Amino acid sequence: MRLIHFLDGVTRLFGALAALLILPLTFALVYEVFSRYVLNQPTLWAYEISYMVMGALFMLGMANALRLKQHVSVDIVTLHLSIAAVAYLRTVFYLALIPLMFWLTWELAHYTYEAFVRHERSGRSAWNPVMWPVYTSWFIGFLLLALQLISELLKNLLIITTGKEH
Amino acid sequence: ENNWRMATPWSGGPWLERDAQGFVDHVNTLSNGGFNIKLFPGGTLGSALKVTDSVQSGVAQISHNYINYDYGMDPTTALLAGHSSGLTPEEFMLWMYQGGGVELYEQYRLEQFNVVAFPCSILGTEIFLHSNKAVRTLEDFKGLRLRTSGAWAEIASRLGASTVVMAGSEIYSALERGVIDAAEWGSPEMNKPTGFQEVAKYVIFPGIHQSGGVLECEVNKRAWDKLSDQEQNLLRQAGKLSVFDSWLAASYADLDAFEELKAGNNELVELDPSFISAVLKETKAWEDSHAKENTWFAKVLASQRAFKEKIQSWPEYRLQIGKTES
Amino acid sequence: MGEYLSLLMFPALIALIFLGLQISFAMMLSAAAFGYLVFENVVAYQLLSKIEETASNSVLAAVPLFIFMGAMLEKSGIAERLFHAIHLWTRRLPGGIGVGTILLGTIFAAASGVVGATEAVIGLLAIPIMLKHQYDKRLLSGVICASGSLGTAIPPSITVIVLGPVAGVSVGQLFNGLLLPGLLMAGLFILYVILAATLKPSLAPSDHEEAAAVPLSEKLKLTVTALLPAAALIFTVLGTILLGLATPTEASACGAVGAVLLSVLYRSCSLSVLWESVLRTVNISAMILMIVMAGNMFAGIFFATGGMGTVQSLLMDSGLNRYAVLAMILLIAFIAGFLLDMMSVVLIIIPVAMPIVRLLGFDEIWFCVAFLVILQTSYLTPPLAPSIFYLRAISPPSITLKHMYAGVIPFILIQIMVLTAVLAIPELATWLPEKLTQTTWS
Ligand code: NA
Ligand code: NA
Repeated sequence: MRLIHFLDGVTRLFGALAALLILPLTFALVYEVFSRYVLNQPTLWAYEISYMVMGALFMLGMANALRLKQHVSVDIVTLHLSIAAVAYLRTVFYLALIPLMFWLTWELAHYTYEAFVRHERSGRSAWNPVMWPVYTSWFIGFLLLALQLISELLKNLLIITTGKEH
Repeated sequence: ENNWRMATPWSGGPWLERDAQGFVDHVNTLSNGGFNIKLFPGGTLGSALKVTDSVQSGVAQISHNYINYDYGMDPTTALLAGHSSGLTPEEFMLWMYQGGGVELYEQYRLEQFNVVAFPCSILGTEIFLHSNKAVRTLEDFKGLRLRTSGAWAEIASRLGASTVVMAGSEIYSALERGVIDAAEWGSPEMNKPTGFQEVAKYVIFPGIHQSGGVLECEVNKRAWDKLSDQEQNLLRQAGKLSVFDSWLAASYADLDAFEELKAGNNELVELDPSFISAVLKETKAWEDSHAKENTWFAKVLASQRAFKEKIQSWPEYRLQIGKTES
Repeated sequence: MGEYLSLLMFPALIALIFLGLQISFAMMLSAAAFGYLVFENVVAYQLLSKIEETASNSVLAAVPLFIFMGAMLEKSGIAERLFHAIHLWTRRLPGGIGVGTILLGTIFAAASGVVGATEAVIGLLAIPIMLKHQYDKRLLSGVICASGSLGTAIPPSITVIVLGPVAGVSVGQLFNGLLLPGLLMAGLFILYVILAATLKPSLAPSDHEEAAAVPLSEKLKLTVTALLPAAALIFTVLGTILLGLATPTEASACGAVGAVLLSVLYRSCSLSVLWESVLRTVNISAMILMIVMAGNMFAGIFFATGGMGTVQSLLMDSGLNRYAVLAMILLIAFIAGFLLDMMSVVLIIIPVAMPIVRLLGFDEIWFCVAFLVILQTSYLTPPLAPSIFYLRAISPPSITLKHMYAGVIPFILIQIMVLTAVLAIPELATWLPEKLTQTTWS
């Protein structure tokens, strides 16, 4: 199905972006150590960057991990069930999860907007950066997760109708 | 009957078990069953660092909170929370209840955050630093790798300290191994269980970076509007009573904890008066720069400065606390 | 009715998990459903605040960084050389690679505050080697899970640092109190591996012939080229912490850079190795962090809907004797540890339990040490065991859940032995703190 391909493609793209984020995360913290001991001047930004980038790579990576079946489940019971039965179960679960994820996405959108309008800042360091860019990455992460759940739902419906894995 | 949930940032310790619980007990008993408030530790009703959000959203109808957690929203919060060269605990009580502080506090919280707030506990003067380098003068302070946050991080940086930011849970190891030279946390009573005195030789005082402070109770606006005048008054009065309770209890506990530090293995170091003046000067510059661009900041600052002016004559006719024997 | 409703959260969650729903989704779904019953629409805000708490927790940056280091070491073949060198020297020791893994686990536990990060890096390094040497998959699973669990007890354990102030107990004394039980645990783990491999060599085959053929000069050469560089890397991580150059989170970043540099030195670093490593890193990290986040959601809702209050009043009014109450508290911690991140368990149970513990007059350090040992045991114990969920994320499909469930059992028994020892001989936890409280400054 073309929708599945499209959704998986978008998710894969953002997963790759999230993977690249590991590089600035590493760099920021190593530079902090270097700056503190060699230049005798701790940075104002490394700490803030570290949790912001960690959060972004986590959030943007969730959907791709779902696509790759990386999220762990316990298969002790389901191993003894037929493929179709498992697909039915998953369909029910995903039908419950999709509205929840869109709801959280909507709330995060609202949260991001508020932070943008109110110029919310971190308040953690003397750098004190604005927070809305960080919140935006969380919003995108949950939107992707919701969309990827739709893709997974469709894959399960295909199993139910055709009896084959997508 | 008002069955309310109270949110707090505290996961344990005296601010939860004594101060927040004390307020709850007062309200529950004094209202004769009109209120039934249940206290929840940090992180169970929304994020521990965003208690105001929990009250706005209605997850909690009431909170016991520290306004400093909203510093990222507006620097005015630092003045109301207690900041460097700020008010002492006793001055805070006088300013709040006689100097117009409570009215400003409530108006500010309502206008900017849409919650009804009033003081609920008072904080003692903090320990300036747990440090592995002795700090007496500005010279000693320059280049000190100091873990701190918020307004004091900005002012300490301007004074020449190398401020380091790290999670609260990393301070102990960082101090022990020398990643940082020094850290500040809270009053003697609050610092005792952190164990910082076990990994840092010097205990430096007085806590000029936080000479006193206030914890607040916030009430959700919709929940507040549903109350009768009498019930609203009861909450405010219970807050005032809790401020007094906490001042008594925290002062005594700090006294014991400080005695224990003196008797222990740490070396106690007192700040030089020249350093205290330097902090005052830098703080004033910081205050002035914010007052220029922030009307609420300017308003609260003006009120606090007028009060400080007024109380100048206090030492002229009052004996200093604790000095009556000497 | 409402009071007991939240107690149904656990059976609901277990049902969802055993019906095959992903663990993180199962926790989110049950948190949302039960939260909605109490909070209605504002439950979304409750969940959102847990997203925020997890996604902006700087300490968790150690998770992707450690995994990145592990992935680089594995993909560039450095891990294989390291274990090959270890194997050469320990081939006469039954279960030598298993013992090496536990020692490595102890070292990484001392370098990381976050338990899941320790386990992920050990797993990435050791699983391929143990599979190659035809280690029994159950023994293999047990060794990885147990090595990972050591992160709780060995400083700088974030769990301990969080526990101290919440419980009102000195962090330094807690670390001292945990030292003997922690070392006892690591020692018994090693002893078990050696014993098991001796009694039943097929569990951990040691190929004497192949190894015996290696001449000493070759052995020394391999040691210099494989063991020492890896040792240097471990020093980068642990040394920067011990020398006070870096926090554990920063040290994990230094370790990641060290792994990249090392792979460049070995000429095994290519863009594709780097790319595969970062992709692997982000997938495993997202999975682990999502379990942490969903666990926070579940725990938060459980508390907020009154579950913990119900438990506390049940305990206080039970009229049980003090040891029975203590046992109940530890049992609750054990059950909570099935799913939740250790820090969450501490933050949720300790504020409720500590007043009871004081009221009953138990030694606070002793209780906290027992509490931490329980959490570590719970981390290992099936059917719901974070250690096993993390292991699943990094192991090939040939290692099944059944292998893992069976494999951790001996290690759980060791944990129970240590717990029993701590409970029966409180001095195990209290002697060292008393000895070491007199800090002296040079
Ligand atoms: Na550790
Ligand atoms: Na478990």
